[in-house]
Amino acid sequence: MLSEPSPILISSYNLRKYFPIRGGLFSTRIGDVRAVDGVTLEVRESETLGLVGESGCGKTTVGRLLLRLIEPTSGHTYYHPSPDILARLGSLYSTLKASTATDGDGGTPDAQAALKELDEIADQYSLYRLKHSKMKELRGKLQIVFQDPFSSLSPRMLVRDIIGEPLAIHHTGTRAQRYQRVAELVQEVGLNPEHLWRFPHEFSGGQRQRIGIARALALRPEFIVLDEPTSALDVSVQAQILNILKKLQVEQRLAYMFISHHLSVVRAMSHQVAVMYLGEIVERAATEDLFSRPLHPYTQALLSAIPVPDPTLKRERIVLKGDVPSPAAPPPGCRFHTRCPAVMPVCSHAEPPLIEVRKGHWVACHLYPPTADGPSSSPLSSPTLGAGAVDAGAPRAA
Amino acid sequence: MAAVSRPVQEVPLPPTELPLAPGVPDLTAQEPSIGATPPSPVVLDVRDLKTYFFTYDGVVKALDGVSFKVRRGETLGLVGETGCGKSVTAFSVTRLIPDPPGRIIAGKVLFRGIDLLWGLDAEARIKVDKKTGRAKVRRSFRRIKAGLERMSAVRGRGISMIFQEPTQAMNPVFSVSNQLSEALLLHHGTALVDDLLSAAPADPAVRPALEALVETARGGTSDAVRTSSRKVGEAVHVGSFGTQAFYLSRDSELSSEDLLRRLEKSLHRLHLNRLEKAYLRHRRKRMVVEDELHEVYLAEMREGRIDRRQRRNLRARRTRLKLGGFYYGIWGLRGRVQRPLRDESFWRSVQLLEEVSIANPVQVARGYPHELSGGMLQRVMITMALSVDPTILIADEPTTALDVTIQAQILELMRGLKTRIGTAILLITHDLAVIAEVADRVCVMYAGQIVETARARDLYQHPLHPYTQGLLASIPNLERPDKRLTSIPGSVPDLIHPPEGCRFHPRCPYAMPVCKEVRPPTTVEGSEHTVACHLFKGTVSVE
Amino acid sequence: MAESGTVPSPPLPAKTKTKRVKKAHRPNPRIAQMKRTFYFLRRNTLAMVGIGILLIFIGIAIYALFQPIPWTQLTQQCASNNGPYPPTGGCLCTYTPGSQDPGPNCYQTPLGSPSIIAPTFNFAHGTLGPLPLGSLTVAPTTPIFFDTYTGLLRGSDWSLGISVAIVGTGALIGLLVGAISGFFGGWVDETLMRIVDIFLSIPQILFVIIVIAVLVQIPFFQPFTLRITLLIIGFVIVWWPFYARIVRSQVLVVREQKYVEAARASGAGGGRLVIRHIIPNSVYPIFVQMSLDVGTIPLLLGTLVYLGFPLFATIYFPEWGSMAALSVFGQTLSNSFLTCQFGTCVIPWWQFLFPGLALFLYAISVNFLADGLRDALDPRLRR
Repeated sequence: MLSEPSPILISSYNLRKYFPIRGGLFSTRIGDVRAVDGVTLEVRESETLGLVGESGCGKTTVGRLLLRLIEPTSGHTYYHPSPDILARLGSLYSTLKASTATDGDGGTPDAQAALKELDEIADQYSLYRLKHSKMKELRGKLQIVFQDPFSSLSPRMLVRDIIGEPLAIHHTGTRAQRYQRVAELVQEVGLNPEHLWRFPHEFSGGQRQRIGIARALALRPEFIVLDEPTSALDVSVQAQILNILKKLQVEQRLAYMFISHHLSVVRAMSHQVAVMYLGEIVERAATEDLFSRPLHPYTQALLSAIPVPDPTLKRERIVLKGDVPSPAAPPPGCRFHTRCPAVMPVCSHAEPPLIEVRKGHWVACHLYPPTADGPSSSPLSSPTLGAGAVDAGAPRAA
Repeated sequence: MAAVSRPVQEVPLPPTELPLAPGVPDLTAQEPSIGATPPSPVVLDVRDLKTYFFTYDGVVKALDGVSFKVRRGETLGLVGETGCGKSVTAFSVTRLIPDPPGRIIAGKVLFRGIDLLWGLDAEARIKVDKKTGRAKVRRSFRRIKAGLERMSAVRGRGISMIFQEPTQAMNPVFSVSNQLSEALLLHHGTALVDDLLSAAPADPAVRPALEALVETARGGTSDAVRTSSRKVGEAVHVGSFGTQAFYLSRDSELSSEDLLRRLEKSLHRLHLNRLEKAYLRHRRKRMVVEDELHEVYLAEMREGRIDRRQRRNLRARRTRLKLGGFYYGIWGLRGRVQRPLRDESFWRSVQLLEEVSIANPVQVARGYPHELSGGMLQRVMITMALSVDPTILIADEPTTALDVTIQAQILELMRGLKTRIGTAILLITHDLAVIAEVADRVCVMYAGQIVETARARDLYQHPLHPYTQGLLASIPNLERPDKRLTSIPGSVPDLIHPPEGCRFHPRCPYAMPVCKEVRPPTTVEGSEHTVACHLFKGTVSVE
Repeated sequence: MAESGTVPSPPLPAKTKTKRVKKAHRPNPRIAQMKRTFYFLRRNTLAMVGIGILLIFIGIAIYALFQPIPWTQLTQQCASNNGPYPPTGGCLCTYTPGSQDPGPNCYQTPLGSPSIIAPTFNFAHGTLGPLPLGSLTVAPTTPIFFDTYTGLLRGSDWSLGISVAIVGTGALIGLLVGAISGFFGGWVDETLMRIVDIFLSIPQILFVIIVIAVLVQIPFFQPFTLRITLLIIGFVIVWWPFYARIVRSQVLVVREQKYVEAARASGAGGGRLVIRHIIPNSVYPIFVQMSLDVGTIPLLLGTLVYLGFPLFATIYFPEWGSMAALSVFGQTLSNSFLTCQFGTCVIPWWQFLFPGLALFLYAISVNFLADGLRDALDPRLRR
């Protein structure tokens, strides 16, 4: 790996977001859509965490939760946590996990004490318990770039006002200074200052996305959530935008969360990748590890499903059967078991926990039970089912 | 560089084959012929197609001389970015361009030898105002309507289309089987009716076949049940009854006697009384008249001549028949009288759904579009499009709205269908990877022109045109992640004022002075590989 | 190979010196949008007809503002006549049926009026004879007195003025309520929508009639301006809910747009979001409704006044509905053509036809314009 990993910028624990389904006579709550169900992740400074999954898996919701654009049902996020806090949190959560075998309130006094202390720490530091005024200050540091360049810019505002809006909201400097900064931003993303006096609909998709990026950069953020920023764009434009993003990351030490369902793009951009399915993280690892040795069957299927622009490459493809189940009624046990090619009887009863199987490589699958440490001996990690002919196809030692 | 000027000889189809007579199965559709010699006949020949849109901001020259050929049984991929005109091409071929503001200006679209664009010049007169660049178009809506009606003989029958958003492609208030039946009755209607009319539920072979089925259902494998249900269908002379029997015996936990009784009850639907038979014959007559009308349209397009008398006669007959059908609409009768046909088409649509490997076709057929996911809906669309036995299927970005794993399913389905049925496919997409999976030949479009055409293998390994090279270089390749993402500088040109000469020259790294002035001719650079670029000086192709 | 670059077109000027952006150098984008709208309007014949007629009306209204008030002229004329002065001031005009010229003290067509002679059928004598368009054949007993032509002119003033006031205020209130209700949702939305429902259940004209008929009795409301204000308020009360509904449905759509979320991500609070983002993008549907209402309200107003509504202090008022009422019911009942004997009176058809025609033309031209505007502004057509 690299020299020293950069400090952790954002750390989330057990994020859950349930959307109530209303029905019945008085619009009572008859169920929940479990969009995000227990997501724990961390993003390091100046690095990119890629979040991958198909539609309906909750990755967009996770992005919004991290920015507190929506409030979670439970869970906490810590921004710029100090190493002591991190260590403390780590030990508290492991105490909790050890003492409660099932989900629910722990009966042991250890668990109770841990919960209480977690609550205290959350009161002080958690993003979701910050007061409104402090949150507003933080907003500049946590920004988002949306997927659809057509609806993410207000059609009745000039580009200059769109980019300058964050500055105006926070009353940064005088009007002339704001102007100046907007002109700078626009050039940073590769547009012309003349473009400031136009309306968004006069631009192409790629240019609009640049405007969106400029807007996100206005207040010198530290963390940007990129919600499928290039999915609506053509391939060559996508390359331009990705290059800009990479350049900005290096220049301004930005951390990204790159949400996408295009695995190839994610690979090009991310340092770490997390794979989500139906609201849970099923695998998380450094990019190279994930792509060369995918452990979870879903990851393997995803990787093999990507079409490759080379007609001579014949690959064996894992084609999953069936459709993604609805997040309102997720299957019991492991959520993937209804479509998993390697399903075992235990998968329909028990939810597999997210375990660190190798250094920095976490998986949630019964194929890698907690007692085994080191590389797994699962039959599914054979290279033919991996991401195609990777690195000249030399199989890694299992 | 090969010295041939035209790659292949076009084999003209015998005239009796061209309009598909109702009821006659198209056996020649079975032969797959990708790259085999002799090359299969061309089913769609687009020559120099020009489509312009006359808008407030000016004349958008969406298509500026597009030419390609699709052969029987092959898959041609049409690739390009947003705004390059690939969807416009598909819509121009079937004449679905919204007429104000769009207009097909010039070109020929030969579908199995029939010029689909016949009568185009008579429909509108265009005058261009040199100063503002705006044009005045005076349209004769009567002729335009007539032209579109003529196209109805081809659209949905010879050429069928599937579109991008499967969740919006079906009518939400009708069930899936209803919509599938609509397509079925359009093309195979007479066959369905004939089947029904020739049903023989009282045949002595039926009863023992039913008993055999019940026997197998008790303990046999799924395949065995299927075989015996098919035998039942044969005994009755109605194939879809076999399907019905299969699902009856598979889905229920009935005892054998109950099953037998159920089967016999459903056999009842094949007993037709006199009124129902009369209704079926009436429907058949209507279908035959429709088919004849379509033949007339086809003949018009083929010969370039309008036969008003025949048209009038057929139309009059059609209306008379339609009105005569109200006799069956007398209160209380209509539902009963239509039931056999509806049931028959229901089970036929279940058969269709089976073909695209939908796991529970009966439920899906009974259900409504909003109950299905995107992937399933796209399968339903595919089967609807293929149920009419089209000669060519135009797929406009069929997998763009779907997730990656679902896309993999659909692409596999399409590959399977290709080898099984052998329809020609015109696949339009912006995703080069998808093309690599499915297509035999590829055309690359840029700003309304085709810049390169080649066999899929050749295109990806030896891309000739700088645009193709740039495109391929900018795709993040899963196999080689360290490769730097290069992009093509600049952006897609404004089609109202496109660049002079080669439309790609402002962004081309190899631009030469001649590129700014002269539009590059399409030259042949090897077997089936053509490029439109001044860098190449192969043999000039005729188009 | 294609070189890697991030430079879009047009290429950046020499260095990335961030010098001050010159203000002189910008094309106004809003003007271009307006030009485009006008282009589409021009191609719609009905809309052009509507615009033409409306322009004529507006022109008339402005012209009429500068017309001297005819009664001043009258008082002067009567003063010079040395005629009998009734106790209330003004002149009495007596007319002999069948005569060709107006009697003494009858109002003469003022200078500047078109002296179009409208032929009329004299029931008494069965003759077709000319009558000046300007005259009223029955004499008023109050100082307010005007001819049909001037009445038409002044009437357009009132119609336009009152309807603009009503529509403007109503739309403003409706916009605010709809935006707040749609944006905040939850119980705010529910409460406001129930209030809107309550207001919508009030029958419009009835309410205005009752309110004003009752309140006008109060001596406080005698002055003319207050009555007009009362009328406007009455109408606004029954009219604003329609706007609120329209705005709310648009706000519900706009609220989900990504740019609103982006602004929120930058820290924008509710107020800023509503004012800068939600409202500018939600006003479109109101414009059409507003222009339609500007056409409808004069109709209602005319109806009200025609029914004898005590809106103006006197029914001898230069307002279209009033003129029509005047002609039918007359100043004194004995003199109106409804009660006169056949053979003794003349049907002053021009006194109710032209105001009615004016109302009709006004309403229909506004409708055409609204249609054309909606077609031209719809972003889906012909983009």
